[in-house]
Amino acid sequence: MTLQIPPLTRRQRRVPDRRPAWEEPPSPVGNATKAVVIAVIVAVMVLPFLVVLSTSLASREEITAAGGFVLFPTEPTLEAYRTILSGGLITRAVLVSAGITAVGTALSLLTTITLAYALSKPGVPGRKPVLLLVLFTLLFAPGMIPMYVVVKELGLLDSYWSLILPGLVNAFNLVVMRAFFMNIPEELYQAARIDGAGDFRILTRIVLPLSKGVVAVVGLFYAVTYWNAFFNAMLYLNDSGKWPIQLILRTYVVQNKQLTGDALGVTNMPPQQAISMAVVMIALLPILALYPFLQKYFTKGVLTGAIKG
Amino acid sequence: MNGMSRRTFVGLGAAVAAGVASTSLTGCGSSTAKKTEAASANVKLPTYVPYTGVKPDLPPNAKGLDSGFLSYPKTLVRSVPKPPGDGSKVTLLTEIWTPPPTPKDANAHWQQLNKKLGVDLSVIMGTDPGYDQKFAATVAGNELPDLMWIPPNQGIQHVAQLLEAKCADITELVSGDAVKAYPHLAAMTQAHWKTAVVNGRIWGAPSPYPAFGQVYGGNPKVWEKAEGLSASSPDEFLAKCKEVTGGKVWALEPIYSNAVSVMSQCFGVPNKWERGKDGSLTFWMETDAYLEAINFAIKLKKAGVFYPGNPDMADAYIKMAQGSIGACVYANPTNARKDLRINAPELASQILVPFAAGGSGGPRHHLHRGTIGYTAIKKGDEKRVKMLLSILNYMAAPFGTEERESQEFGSRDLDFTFDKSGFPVRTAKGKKEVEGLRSGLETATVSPSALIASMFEGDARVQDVKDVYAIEQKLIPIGIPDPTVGHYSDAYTEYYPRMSTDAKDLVNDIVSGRKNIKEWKPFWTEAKKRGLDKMRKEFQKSLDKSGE
Repeated sequence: MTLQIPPLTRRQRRVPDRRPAWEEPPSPVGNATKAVVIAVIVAVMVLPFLVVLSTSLASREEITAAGGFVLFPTEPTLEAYRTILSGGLITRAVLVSAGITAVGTALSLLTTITLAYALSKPGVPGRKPVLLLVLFTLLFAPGMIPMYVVVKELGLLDSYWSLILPGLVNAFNLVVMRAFFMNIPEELYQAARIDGAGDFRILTRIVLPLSKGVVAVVGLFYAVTYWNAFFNAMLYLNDSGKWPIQLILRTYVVQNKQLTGDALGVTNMPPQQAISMAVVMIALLPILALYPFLQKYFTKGVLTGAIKG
Repeated sequence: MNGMSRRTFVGLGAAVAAGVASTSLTGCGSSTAKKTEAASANVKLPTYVPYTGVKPDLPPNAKGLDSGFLSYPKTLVRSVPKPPGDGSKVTLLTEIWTPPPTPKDANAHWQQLNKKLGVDLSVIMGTDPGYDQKFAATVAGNELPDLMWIPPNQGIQHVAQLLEAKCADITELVSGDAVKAYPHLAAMTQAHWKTAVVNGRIWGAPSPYPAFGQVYGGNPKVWEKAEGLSASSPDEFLAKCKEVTGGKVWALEPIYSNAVSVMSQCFGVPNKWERGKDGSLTFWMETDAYLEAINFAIKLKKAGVFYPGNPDMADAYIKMAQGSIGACVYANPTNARKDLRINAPELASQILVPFAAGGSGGPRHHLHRGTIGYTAIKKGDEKRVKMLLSILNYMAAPFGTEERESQEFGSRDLDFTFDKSGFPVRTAKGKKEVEGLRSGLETATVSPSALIASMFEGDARVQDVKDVYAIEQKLIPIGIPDPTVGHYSDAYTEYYPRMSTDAKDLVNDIVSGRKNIKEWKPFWTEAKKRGLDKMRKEFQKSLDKSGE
């Protein structure tokens, strides 16, 4: 008896030889399409930024000729920046924002790291109730008025601390960091303990050096939050001399109220759009400048925190 | 009022902080809720005693025409003989429309003003949008400021309950001739005082504002081509818009809801509410005439005369000054002239007087309520309330008085000097210290609106006063007031902001072509269930009681 092997159909014959589409070498058309799509996406991202930058550097004549926004200024000038940084309203607001961001980020990182470390260790008394309390704030945010009353009762109204203390520990950031710490092998902790290290030494010498990624990411989240905050400032700061840059930005750029020469203490004002865009640039730049330095940690930090529980 | 936001004062929809979630006031009882329907019924309003210390060059009239001042007086009148304060601390919650001033500790002008007021005045400065939230949080904190500016249109709710629970009823102190004890407040008309009436009682000093409403203001260079911004019919207006549109120039700003609002005046639409012969109230947007105004705006849109921006564009005024937009809607003729002078000092804006576009009543001009709210006083013993009223009286000092100059410009030679025409000009110090504080104070209260040459920038300020005065003279005969001014409705404070924002968005969507005009009528059928009928009923009851 001979074994009859049925002939392969045309389809069966073809399939084993063929690689999946994504393994095929890209065709020139495919490459060109990808390049075009990427270029369009990049343009969509970069163009508004370029317009903001260019307009902030443009002269009155160019802005008028362009009908409002300039793409490539022919004679760039820093007059708008000189005007708003001449020691008046914007300079003060930038310094306020920078101070709040620096102090707030440092304190938030300190409290988040120490709390996350404690909550990541099994056997810490009260770990679960504290964790539940933190998670509760993630699910049920306090309303504007309860928050205001708490800030007022703590005597923080009109104080810079009112912009820092209410958001000192962010539950999401805490969960991310705790998840990261829990992923560190237990053997490292045991070895450190055998060598006589206490919790503080373990945290500073072992855990933190291994957690640069997540610390950078969480630090960036905090910094961005502090830098961008305007709502709390609007509610809690009655003294306008303490207003941060974002409140100024919101009021006088987003709402297009004019930053007049009177307020800035100058007589020859650059065009309003240049001033507005310069304020936007000043509000954007510090945080934007941080990203390239933290980018290498970003993906790793976020993903690790996101998938571990 | 310097730089007052268009969001707040331009357009019905734009008048309300757009999309602001309603913020209730806590800490106030609700037992008075039912009384609010009584509104302004039967209160004896303060006697009107116009200020005669400085004679205007252009006379006002009883119908609302502003007085005009063409020069700055060489000698000023001292209208408050001694500081009204008692040396105590006074806090004021108000809104500023300019960048904030130098903080009090470093602000010599502020400290000087405090000496003149005789109090240590601290100002809590809210911004727009966000004032309603700041207000609600401040009230919730239960440490009310002594003086609180209460605007009628920024979503602050349960005002009647707040006033009853926390604020001083000043009716007896200002009603009838009693107001003569505060001469600057007595110079406010009864129409001004109506704003401060809730539950048949007076709760604060009005914050006067020009009595004229929205108009199109235009760049004269753009409209030169079409022989100026004027028209006698919709067809002529459309033709002129088409004529000036071309290249990088468009006739109108793309804020369609404002365009419809101004055009509705041409179509004879009532001012917010119209009282029928049987006493019934009809909301202006419910009328067929308003629908016609939307249809006309659609026609303008199809003709391509609107600037190709979005209906929320924030820099239309600047674009108009630069000549890319021909005309923008302004809160009133004065602002139309002032704002263009700020952005383009050489240009004198032209103002469109409403033309007849059909309808039985002919063209109308929708007058503003003439105030932007009132400043209430925290409950306290009578002596303190009287002292705070005197502070407000000082703040309402009219043009030509020492008190007005010190608030508006500061101290001579330090905060301001005089230009060659004799008009005050702020010095570098005055620029930083005076403007923001003045903005907050004049929001709280100020003397009744007047056309003053020093309000306008540039060398043509005298002509500006004459031109705006002339426009006002043309608008007065067709001006109609909102019949509900001076009548309070809780439903209005609760439902109107949302309804107004939704209506504005729908108008923008319909004119821009994203939605069909057929959706307009069903929207108002639905709005009746969502508060419109309730506010109509409350206003109607109040109007019936007052016999208006």
